[in-house]
Amino acid sequence: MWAGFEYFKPATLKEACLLLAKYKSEATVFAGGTDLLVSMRTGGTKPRYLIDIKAIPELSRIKYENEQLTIGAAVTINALAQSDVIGKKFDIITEATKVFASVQIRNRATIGGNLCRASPSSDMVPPLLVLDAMLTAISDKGERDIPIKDFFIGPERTSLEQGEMLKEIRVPTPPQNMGATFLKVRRTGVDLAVVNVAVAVELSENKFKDVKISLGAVAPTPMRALKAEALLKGEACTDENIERAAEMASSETSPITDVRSTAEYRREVSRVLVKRALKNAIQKVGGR
Amino acid sequence: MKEFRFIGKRVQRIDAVSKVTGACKYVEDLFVPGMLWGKILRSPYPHAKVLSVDASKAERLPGVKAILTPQEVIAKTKPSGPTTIKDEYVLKDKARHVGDEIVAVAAVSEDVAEEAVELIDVKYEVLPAVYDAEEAMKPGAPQIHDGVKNNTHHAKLRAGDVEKGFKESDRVFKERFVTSKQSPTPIEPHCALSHYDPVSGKLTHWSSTHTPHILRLDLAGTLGLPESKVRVTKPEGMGGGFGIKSDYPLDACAALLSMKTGKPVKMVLSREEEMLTRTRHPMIMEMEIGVGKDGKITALRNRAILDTGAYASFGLGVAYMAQAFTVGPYKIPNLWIDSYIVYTNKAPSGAFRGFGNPQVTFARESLLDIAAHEMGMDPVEFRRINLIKPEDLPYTTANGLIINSCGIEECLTKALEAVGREKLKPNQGIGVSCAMTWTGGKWLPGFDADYSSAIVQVNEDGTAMLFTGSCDLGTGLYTVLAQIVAEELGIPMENISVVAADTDATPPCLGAWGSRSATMAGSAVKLAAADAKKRMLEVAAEILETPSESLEVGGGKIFVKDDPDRAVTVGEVASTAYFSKKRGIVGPIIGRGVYDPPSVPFDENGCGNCCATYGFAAHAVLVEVSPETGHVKLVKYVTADDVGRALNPEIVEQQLQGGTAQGIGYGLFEGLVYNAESGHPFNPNFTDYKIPTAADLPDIQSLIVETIDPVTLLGQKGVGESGMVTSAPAIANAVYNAVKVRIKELPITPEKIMEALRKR
Repeated sequence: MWAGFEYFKPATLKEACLLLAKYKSEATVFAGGTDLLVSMRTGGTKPRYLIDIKAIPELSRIKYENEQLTIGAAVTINALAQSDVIGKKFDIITEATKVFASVQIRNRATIGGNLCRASPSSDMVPPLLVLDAMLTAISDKGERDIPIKDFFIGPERTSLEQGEMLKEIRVPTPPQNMGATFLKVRRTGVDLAVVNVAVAVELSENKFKDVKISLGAVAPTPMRALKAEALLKGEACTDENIERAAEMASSETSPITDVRSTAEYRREVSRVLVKRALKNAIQKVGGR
Repeated sequence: MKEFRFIGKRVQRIDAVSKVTGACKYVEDLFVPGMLWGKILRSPYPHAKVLSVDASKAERLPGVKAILTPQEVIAKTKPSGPTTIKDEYVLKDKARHVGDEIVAVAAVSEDVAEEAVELIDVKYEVLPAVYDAEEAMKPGAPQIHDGVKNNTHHAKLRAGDVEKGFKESDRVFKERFVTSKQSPTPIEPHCALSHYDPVSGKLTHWSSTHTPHILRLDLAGTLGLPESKVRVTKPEGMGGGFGIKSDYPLDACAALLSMKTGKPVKMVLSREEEMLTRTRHPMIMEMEIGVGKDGKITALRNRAILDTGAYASFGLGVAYMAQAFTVGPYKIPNLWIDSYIVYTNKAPSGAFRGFGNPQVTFARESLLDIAAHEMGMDPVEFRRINLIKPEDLPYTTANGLIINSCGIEECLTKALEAVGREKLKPNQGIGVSCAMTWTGGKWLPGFDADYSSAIVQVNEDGTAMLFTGSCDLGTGLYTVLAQIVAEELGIPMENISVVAADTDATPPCLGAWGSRSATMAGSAVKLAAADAKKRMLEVAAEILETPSESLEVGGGKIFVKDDPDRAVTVGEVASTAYFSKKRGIVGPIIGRGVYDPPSVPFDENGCGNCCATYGFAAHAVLVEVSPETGHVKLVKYVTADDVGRALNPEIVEQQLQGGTAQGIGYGLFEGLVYNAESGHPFNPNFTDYKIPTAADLPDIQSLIVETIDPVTLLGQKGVGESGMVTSAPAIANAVYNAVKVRIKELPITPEKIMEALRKR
């Protein structure tokens, strides 16, 4: 176990930002620790300064004001799962939390940690991608908004700059006629995604007014299937269109073969999940 | 026979409160003043000669107390191994797998020991490595152990006339099956706390071991100490072991570090280390059966390659037992089996729940289904034609196993009934499999021992103490043994205490493995308790002035059968015996029991009645397979087992279900996968080595069929491995029946199913 670090537990955002500014690349933000502590234990990560953000009150809040959901970066996955407002108005997030790791991990892991870890197989990112979430980064120089689609730049790499940390995630309330759903294929009941898919559809007279499709674990970062989305916009909600879009989404992925699955399987299952998710989402808003 | 009071009852575990309150102590909970921590520097290379070890930086680190190098170990100790192949030192001057033990450190804390390991500079000459057993057998493959030609040891089984058997057959079916490198994943990794006292020259060694007395023998041999100077003991708690904790150099390493420092040394493997050090043998099997026009199997031939990894470990024994049980619960008159135990540069394969039987059962039960489908027969009927039936008993298999009791046909019938024959939905299918399992066993030619022994002492307060050398691995064994004492002496369960698994205090036992404990230790305990009872009745007869034959025990008393009011308590009897001279009777009430079953080791043809008794299992599973994702859902799972006599049905069910859960993992998820370039496993952790949890398992219904074996003293049979042995082929057969694809390589993953569906 790596023990050569200094530990800080700032009580305010300002204090946290000053520590980040002071220790720069040697500073590591510590939230749930479900990845970080494991990595410190095996010697994979040897941080010099650990900045625990769990004592900063605004980072642990879930707020719903003016039709907008704001989730603090240190909110745990189980806190999201148990939130009434999220369950009512953003149930795709709730769906993702239910299949995220294990209960024990969900009690520790945070939404901010999950996003900043930038794993291609994150279960929280695809729902936030189709909901068009906006992320706020903070540093001693001030705050900066980053649309979630610009946040991930590679496996385990985000667009946060040195001295910056994630403060909160803001999600606009979906329109009434939007249905969204999250599906995941995994090896066992407690597992990272082999493939995961989030879909949001907005219907108008049984036509796709708007569609967003996002997939995880099939590309270097969680991705949007933009061509598949384009294929459906303005089109009728037919099985043929759904099949075509699912094929297209699958062709947009660039999966790899690893210990968890094969590229071929991931591509195939991407198609199946996109198809199923589209049908589920349509059903949710009473389409078909 | 009279009604039992404790045996056969769902008696609560005697350690339930201790476990639930957390009072139960495990090796890692133990602390001895002055205790050091040991850590091992492991090879990052799959095959490499150690050129030099520079530990000067580690030696200068404050808190480091000792560094143990391979040179020192090789000079001072002997190589070890659980069979006749002794190929492993505690530390090695040549690494044969990633994770091989090279240097050991003792330091004042775990952190310092870890830091010291990082400071040691080992120079290696990297050698070519081989990971595939079939490649390793070829001439010119990298030589992993000196003097072992083609990296291969051989074992064989010859029974009947196999050529004639195939000639007599109408159809022949041959297939190739491959099984995975399953990791045992006990919840408690292997650990030891070793304390050598330089003044007395005695080593006291706490270990999470299956086999205290065998470990004593092994430590004495490796360290050059007399057996009496080694005390091995296991604390009350043990978080499973599944076989691997009956062999591993960690114990000797902790002992050597303690001998070097004169201080107690604790070592605990990490999960990753556990996964890098012992696994199940992956097997490649080319199995062939001949079937007559009447559906009778006339011959079976198998060519099995056991990938034993870097060291032989139990490989030879696994091969012999796998061979002997390839026949399964069937009447097959002619058998011909060759087993090749092959070294590769991967983690050593060793003893693991099932010990070769899961592999051969997967191949045989899959092959039987393939054959039945090709012949247009119902796989269940095909099995029925060939099963050993009650009217065949006693039945001797072609390879000499003597079956005195066998309920396999009833098991199969009951399992099928319970799984239901309601109309299947699309993509659903039912699969069955049958297996024969052992109870202990003389598992190696020349190894003629399968004993256990016990002492029962009756105390002045009317309680009894059981001294047993056996080990409860978390299975509930001590409860079962206490039930046997309570039954025999007629005293309540709460009045029995169990002193176990301490080579300085408890009599010799070969340990807990091979589903043997409830039968071997249980039979020894039965004999010891009966011996104590005899003496107790003699004393009571004197007190009550009646012949001892007229007496009966029960409710903590000894009473006259025909006049139950004439009674004396067990406590009075013990007190009288201890302290008062009554007609010359004096001295404590102690009973002694030694049990060694009437089994024999294998002969030169791998034949012989290796076990006292044989268990039988049938599994029936209903699966639903998604043709879109290949996902296998276990809708309903039923096991039915001939357990002889269920000494405690609840504990029996727990063993059957726990084994089945592990077998389901073997069938669907598990296996270490190696990087063929670096020799590192991709998944030595629970992130990527998946075992089933409650989220993945159906409600497993476990049915018990009692046949009351005539050989074992209470009619019991072993049940610890049966679930693990029988599950995987039942699932494979069910998957075939659901979507008509045959997966012959474990685990049965969605990827393999989808690939097979595409090719169909």
